[in-house]
Amino acid sequence: MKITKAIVATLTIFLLSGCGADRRTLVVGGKHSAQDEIAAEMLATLAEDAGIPVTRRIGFESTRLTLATIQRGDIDIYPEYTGSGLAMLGLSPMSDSDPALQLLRERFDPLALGWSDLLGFENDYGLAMLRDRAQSLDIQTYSDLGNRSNQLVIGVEDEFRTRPVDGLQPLRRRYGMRFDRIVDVPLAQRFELYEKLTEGQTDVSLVHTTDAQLEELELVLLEDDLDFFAKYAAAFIYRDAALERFPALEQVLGQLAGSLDDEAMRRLTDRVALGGESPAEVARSELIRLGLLSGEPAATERPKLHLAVSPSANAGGEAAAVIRALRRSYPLRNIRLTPSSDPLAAVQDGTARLALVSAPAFFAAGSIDPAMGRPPLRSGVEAVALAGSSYLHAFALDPKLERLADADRIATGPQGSSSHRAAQSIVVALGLSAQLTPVGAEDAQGLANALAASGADAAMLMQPIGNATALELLERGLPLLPVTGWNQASNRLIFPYFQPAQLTANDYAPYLSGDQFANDELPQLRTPVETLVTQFVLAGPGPTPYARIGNQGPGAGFAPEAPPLTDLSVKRINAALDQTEQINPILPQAAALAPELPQPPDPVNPSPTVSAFNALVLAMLVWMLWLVVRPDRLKRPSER
Amino acid sequence: MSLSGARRLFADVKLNRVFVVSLVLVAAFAGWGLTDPEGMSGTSLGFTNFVLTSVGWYWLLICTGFLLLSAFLALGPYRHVKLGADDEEPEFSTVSWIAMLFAGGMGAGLIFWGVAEPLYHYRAPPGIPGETPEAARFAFVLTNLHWGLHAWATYGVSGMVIAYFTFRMNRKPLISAPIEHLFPGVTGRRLGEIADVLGVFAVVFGLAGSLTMGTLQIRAGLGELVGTPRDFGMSLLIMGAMYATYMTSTAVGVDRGIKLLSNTNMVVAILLVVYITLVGPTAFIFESFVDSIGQYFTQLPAMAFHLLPFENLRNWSAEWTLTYLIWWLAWGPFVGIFIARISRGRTIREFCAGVILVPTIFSMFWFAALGGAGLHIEMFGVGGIAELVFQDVTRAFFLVLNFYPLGQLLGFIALFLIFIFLVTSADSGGFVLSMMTSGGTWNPPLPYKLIWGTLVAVLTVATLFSGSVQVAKAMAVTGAVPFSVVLLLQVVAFLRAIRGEQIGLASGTEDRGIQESEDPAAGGDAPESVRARGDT
Repeated sequence: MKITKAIVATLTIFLLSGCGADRRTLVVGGKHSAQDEIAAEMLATLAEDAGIPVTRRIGFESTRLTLATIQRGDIDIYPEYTGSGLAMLGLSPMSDSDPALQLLRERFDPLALGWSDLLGFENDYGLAMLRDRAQSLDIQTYSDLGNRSNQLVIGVEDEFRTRPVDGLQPLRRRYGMRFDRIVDVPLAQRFELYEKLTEGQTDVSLVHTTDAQLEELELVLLEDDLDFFAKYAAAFIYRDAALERFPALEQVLGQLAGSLDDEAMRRLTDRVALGGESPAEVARSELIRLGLLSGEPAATERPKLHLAVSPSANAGGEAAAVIRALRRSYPLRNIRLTPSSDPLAAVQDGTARLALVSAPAFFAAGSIDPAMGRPPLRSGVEAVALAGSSYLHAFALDPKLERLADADRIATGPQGSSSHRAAQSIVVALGLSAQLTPVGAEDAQGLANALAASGADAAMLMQPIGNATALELLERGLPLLPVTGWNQASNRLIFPYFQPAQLTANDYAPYLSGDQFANDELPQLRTPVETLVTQFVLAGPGPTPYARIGNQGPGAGFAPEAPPLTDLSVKRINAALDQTEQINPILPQAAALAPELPQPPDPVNPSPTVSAFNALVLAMLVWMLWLVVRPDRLKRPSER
Repeated sequence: MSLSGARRLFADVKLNRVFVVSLVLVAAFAGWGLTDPEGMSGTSLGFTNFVLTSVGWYWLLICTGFLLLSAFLALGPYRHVKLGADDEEPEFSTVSWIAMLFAGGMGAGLIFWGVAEPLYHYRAPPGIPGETPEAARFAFVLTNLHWGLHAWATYGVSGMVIAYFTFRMNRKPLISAPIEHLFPGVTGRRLGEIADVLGVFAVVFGLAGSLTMGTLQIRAGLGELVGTPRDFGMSLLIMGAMYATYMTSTAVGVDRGIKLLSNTNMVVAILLVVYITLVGPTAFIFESFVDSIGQYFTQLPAMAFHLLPFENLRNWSAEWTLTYLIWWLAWGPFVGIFIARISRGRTIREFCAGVILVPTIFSMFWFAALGGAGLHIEMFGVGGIAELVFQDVTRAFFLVLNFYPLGQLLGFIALFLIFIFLVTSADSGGFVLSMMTSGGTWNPPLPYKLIWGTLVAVLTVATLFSGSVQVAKAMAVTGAVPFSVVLLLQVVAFLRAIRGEQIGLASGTEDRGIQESEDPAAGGDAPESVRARGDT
């Protein structure tokens, strides 16, 4: 690995130096990272617009290599960060960017290299963790991390691991971190750090603060409480000679100064890193948006694939696993989360392609289909893959409440949500007298607040273990009510998708901090709580009846409902999710998941009706043929 | 309009048997569909399903048979026979003729499926692995099989039979004319009436079903482009605009209304395809086109009989190839009569070349351009479109257009094309219906057109209101099943008639004119009784 990298690095320098001598173009460089590529492309595009011939050499493996290359004169300009510049000189980090830039200009002057004005965004180093994980370990700052680091795994990019001044080793020394294991990835594959984090291979990861994944996965950025990291404000390093050769470059740099703030860079990085667009086109469209370039931005956005989830779903939990599986299954689609209070309805009306729901969402609760003896299925949806399990969390909002049966009002998630549907079924099944009060909110925290403030005396949630809403309510000390007596009155037949289960402290242990666990801060779970469990599945549109006649044809061309996922996609998603359990047969499921029953051998004649019809058609054709060839008879002589 | 005015206007309407029976039948079937959409679509689609899957070979065989028959007619001994008197000249210029053919026969599906179908087969071809260069090549072969010679041969044969009997044998331009020729006497007359009613039935529902789906397409397109609501009000608005346009066009007559619409349509379609070709991957598109010509014509003999019994993909055949064939047959009655109407004075060879070959080549280029543009993005560009085709054809189409400069404008142009396609179909359909129910006059009185045009519009609106696309689809294709038998009988009658005419000519009566050619004395096998009845 190391040798390969060395060879690649040598080759890169070799190749780049090949065109060093008599050069008439401006060579724009950049590191292999979305932010750097976008900034470099913006400069290159704008320079070309100003009439400067440009050669792009974007995609260097590390800061050292890039800096060495510009010093040799093989590239003329590239985006760099103040913090990295200082570190490369061996200087201590500075927390203020302007004096840092001043210092850098002074120190780089002898090398005949200049620093442009700041671009406006900072791309700082940071350490991030999944929200659940950080919460359960009770880590908020780097110092907290240091205290627990001997049992943790950190993921970093290879460059950071070797950087002397602001790299991993100095960081470890500063905070006394030890780390059980260190996982590194090449700079160009930095996105893998996020996959490793959500897969649980690492506990904490090095991130860049403008990375789009921070927001998507709702990661927690830890606090650098001893101010180890410098500020990494972006600017361009250029060779003074290049500025002399291309005076117009000065103006280009002036145009870009201060043009990109953190928010803008995060948005652009999102398009590249998550949306799969090319940095060049993203840069171009941003320049057009800023009014620095005229023209129409070309459409390069990859078609979106929406995954509808409940607003309270954990972005770092099951949803992240599903998104990762979808990205693998649809490498060319732009996968996005769409919050929806009734995710399956979003699939039915076509606003989302897939939804992540608990099994009760498949049923129109509140009535029983007499033919089936259970609540009727909602049409047009089918389960595609299993994502996990959902547990019923029944909370007593009124501390005096001891049994669910005594509750007068039960608060649930919004109308149509899995929680609401589950509650509707449970009220019927257990013969409860309580009224349901659906409440809605934008996010998990909001839902917890809304449930607590609903004025009801109990609350029901149907969510996977560790769901942020449930966790919040648990931490507020609300007691969990047991749901017992499920097996009475043929409930198992009417609502076969619920199964009795126990919620134990061990289930919640991974989401609790060691202290909380040790201090027995969730007394609700001191003894296992009887409750109900159901499957948490990925759902897509179902097949339409009468599909033998296609949707094509001269007058057609319009499929009113979205067709189901193809078998290939279903197989890919299941392979990526890698769940051992099968989907409950009670749920409608994709054809590709249906068990392949041993086919009885076809009888000699599978269908006598079809045979008879075939014979009829054949007879008709023979008759037609006879009509063509039959001689004219009888009439002609008589008419003559 | 005052009551007496209305009475005067409708004084022309004769209540002949075909008119009344078809009105009653249409009303009954429509009533069933509206009161019980589930039951109606379930039953009729179930019926069509059964017919498609149990005798798939029949559909493929008859359509391939039509293709072979047209090849024989174009190249064989009858190639110089004129569809009209021997000295007659064509009524429309060749360019207008072809434009009208195309606009009447193809229809709105061509727009969206232009991008979608090649991509669909590229990703999921039957029997071979998808997303490979072979799949891309096979995708064009399949697409051209579905939209190419088979489609136009079906139309061509339907049209030629009518044109021959009408213009050469001076019969009424009715579906029943060849059948009465084949079965002289009362049997023939009854069979003929049944055939006419079946024809009316197929046309009314084919048209209403297509207009419903077309309205939904335009609505989806507008929703995608400008975000208009996708509700019934919007459908009503679109259908209203369509009704106004096609009634106006019908009122001014075929020679002006449809001609103008078709020529506009042709010009706009050509501009669109040229723009896509030149702004897009031009070389790739031309290479796809040239490659697909070779692949299609070399694989045609095998593909024309291509069913998938060994792959156990009989459902695939039903969903794709056979669905297309049955659509062409469903539209056969009215496109056929319409094509006949505009083809007077062409020789059989000219007719075959114009009706079958030219539109096929054009549609091959159309698919090479639109499908090629999509495929290029999928294979060598950003990608992700083929997957979207499986999710939403409309969105995939507009997405591809959006890769082009002025994509928004292209979207509107495409919607305009769909609109005109639908209006032309409705216009020619209304004309054909009026003709069939007014006893076969070439210029049916306006009230007939008013009645049928409005009836089709009402049916469309009612189907839109029921909100069931399944009903529309059931209506559109069910008529094709009985009509296939009628068409076969027509072909039999045609073959006998033309053979009789040619034998007559060969036996020394060449100098006798068109009038005599149907005289039994001249060797034609049309008995006296039939000819006499033709005038009643």
